Amino acid sequence: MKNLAIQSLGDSNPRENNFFSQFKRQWVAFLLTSISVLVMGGIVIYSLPDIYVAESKLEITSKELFLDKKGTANSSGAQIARRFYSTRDHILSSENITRILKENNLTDDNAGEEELQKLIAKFRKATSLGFIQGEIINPITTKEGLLRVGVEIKYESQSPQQAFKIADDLTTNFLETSSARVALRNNRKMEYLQIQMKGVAIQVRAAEEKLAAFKNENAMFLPDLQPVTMNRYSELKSELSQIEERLTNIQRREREIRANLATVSTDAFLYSADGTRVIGPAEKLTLLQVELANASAKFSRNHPDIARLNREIQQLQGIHKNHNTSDLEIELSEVKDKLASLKGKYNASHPDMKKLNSRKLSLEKILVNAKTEQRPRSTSVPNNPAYIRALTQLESVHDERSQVKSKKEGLNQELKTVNEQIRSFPTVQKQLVELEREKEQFSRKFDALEREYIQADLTKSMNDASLDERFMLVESPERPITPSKPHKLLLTALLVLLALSVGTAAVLIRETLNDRIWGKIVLQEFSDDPVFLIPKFR
Amino acid sequence: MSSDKKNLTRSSIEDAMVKAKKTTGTELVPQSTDATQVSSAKIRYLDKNIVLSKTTRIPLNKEALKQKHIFLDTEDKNTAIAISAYRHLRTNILKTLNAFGGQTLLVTGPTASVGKTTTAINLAINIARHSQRTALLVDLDLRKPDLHKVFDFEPEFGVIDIIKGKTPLEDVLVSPQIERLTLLPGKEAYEDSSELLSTGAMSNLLQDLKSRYPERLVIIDSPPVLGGDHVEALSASVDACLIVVDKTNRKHELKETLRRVHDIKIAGYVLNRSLEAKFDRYYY
Repeated sequence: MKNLAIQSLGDSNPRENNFFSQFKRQWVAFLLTSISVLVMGGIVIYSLPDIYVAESKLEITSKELFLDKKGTANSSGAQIARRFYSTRDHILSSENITRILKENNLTDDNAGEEELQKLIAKFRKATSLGFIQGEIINPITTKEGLLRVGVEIKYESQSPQQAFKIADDLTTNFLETSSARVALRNNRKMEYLQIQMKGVAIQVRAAEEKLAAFKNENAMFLPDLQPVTMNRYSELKSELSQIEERLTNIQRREREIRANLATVSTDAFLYSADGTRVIGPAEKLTLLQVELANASAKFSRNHPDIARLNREIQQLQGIHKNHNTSDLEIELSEVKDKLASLKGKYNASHPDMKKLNSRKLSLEKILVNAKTEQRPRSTSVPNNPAYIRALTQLESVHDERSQVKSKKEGLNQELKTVNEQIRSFPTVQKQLVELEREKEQFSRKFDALEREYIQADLTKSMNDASLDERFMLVESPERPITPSKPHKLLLTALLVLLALSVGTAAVLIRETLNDRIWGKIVLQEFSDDPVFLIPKFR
Repeated sequence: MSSDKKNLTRSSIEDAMVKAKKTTGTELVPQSTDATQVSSAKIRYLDKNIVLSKTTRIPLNKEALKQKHIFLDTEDKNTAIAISAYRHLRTNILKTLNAFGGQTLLVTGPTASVGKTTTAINLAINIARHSQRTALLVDLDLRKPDLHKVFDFEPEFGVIDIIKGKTPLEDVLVSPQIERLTLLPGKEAYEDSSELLSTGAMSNLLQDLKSRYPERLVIIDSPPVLGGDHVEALSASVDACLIVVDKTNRKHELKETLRRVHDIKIAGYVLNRSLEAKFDRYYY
């Protein structure tokens, strides 16, 4: 059926149910609605009273900056905003507004409280005191290191003269209040800085004293003397090694002498006048002992020969014992040396130490016993020159050894001290650095406070240009010539738009609610059969 | 009507009867011996051999028809647009009916006063005048027969008379002096019309109308669909329907109409008094 739908005149026109066709159907509704809105809105707009606005613009420059993570001077403007709002609150306080109202003859003393409150509320509504363009404009000026903020003060009234006068009053009031507050803040700042400086000065002195005392206490540990100490340490090490070497030599010499001594008889061989060798003490002792045995067989114990023989034997035996004691003493001395040398390395519970100690004790005991048993030295002293020379050398070596040992002990002691000094270098240095830093911090703080104080003092005595925060009147208020509000042209344009929108809405609503068969498209919704349009005739 | 009566003189009828006897060998007998009756009525069949008949002719008042939006000749742009619109309608309806051999078209609408009668008349006129087919326009809006009012004549008989068997079809047919167009008007309003339309006589009449002249297109001006059950009563007897609506009709009315005529083939819709058509830019 569809392909047979060669439709009549209107059918060939591809009109659909679009806005224009709807608009064409509902143009009367559109016109009526739009005109109604226009008329009513026009009456409202053109019956609004003219409002005149007088305004001034100021610039606040502040040094309130801080360094951010990148080291750029920055400011959130929070402090300046806080102070600004405080000043604004003061200006728009009821007392201040009442004063302005009275000065401008907008109220008198007879006005009731309620009426006055209404006037104050009206005044606040007509006043605009805020940052330009929202909050902060141009908040960072890194080049100058300053923060700049624009402020505008507006007052609106139906009377241009009144708008101008009150805007002027508000501007003056703002400048005066802000300047007074800055000066007051400066004075307070100076007082505060003075107190702070005193406190910091005390802290600086205390830090200096502490540092000096520390340096005195640790003079040898200070970094300046560290090279000297280190040199001394090296010298001591070297000396000690030389002493050790010397001691070794002494011991070797002693051993050699002892060896030599062992081979040399205490007594020199006796020679007779004819040059024949005479019997020595040992041989003599043996002979005497043999003779005593023979005599004992013949005589009683009290026999004078036996007594003599016994006496001689004892004398000869005394010489031998004396020799043995000197050997023990040498051994004891060696044990003691060894103990002394090991004492620095091992503690008393070490097996070697224990062994040496026990050996030392046993030797001492033997020596004591030997000495108690020792008879008075035989009148017969060694007469062998070789033996005597060797003994003399041994004694000399003993003396030298004891001297070297005492020197070694002294050096060890000194080395120990120097070692302790070296070990305590880092600690002392750290403490020193901390003390110096502490002192430096206090000094720096004091310097900063001092600078700030000097600046504040200068500010007080000099002009306003050096203030932390200064105010500049950029644009003073002027008497308005043309009304600022209402913006009738704009409102009219908006009204026209509104009227068109409402008219359109009316069209759309009517079309939505329209249940009639207004056109071909409605019929086509019901069937695919052809639709023929017959025009309306008059 | 009076002039017609003058034309239909007894002598002319007798001449016709003689002529018929000569050509067919059959004697024609007037239905009524009353000369006045004969003169005002038609010569009609009295037996199966009679072939001669003559319908009532009424004068054509073009100006009066134009006032009622029945357009015959192009006079100005408005009439040209109207005639053009109806020609389009005619062409498409004929194509649709020819496609399945339809012979009867019911012109109806959801409600009254949407232009059913006007559409039916204009369509019939256009079919009769500008195609090779004859058209019979039947006024079956029995409750409110308007066809004769449009053509400004007072019929002697109406469709009801035929259905009730009071008069033969030939006595009711009227020629409006438009070539190939015949009217079958109603006469008086008949309240119980749906009952009448449901009768077998009605079906027979329509069947008779269709079968007698196969080339004739029967256009039925029917009552509104929602005004009763007339259309449902006729639905079995018609081949297709043309639904006429205008912007006063609502969607739910159309929906209900379609529900009621669901068993009739819809040849198309006519949106009458359309602003869309009026401002058409393709006309030249």
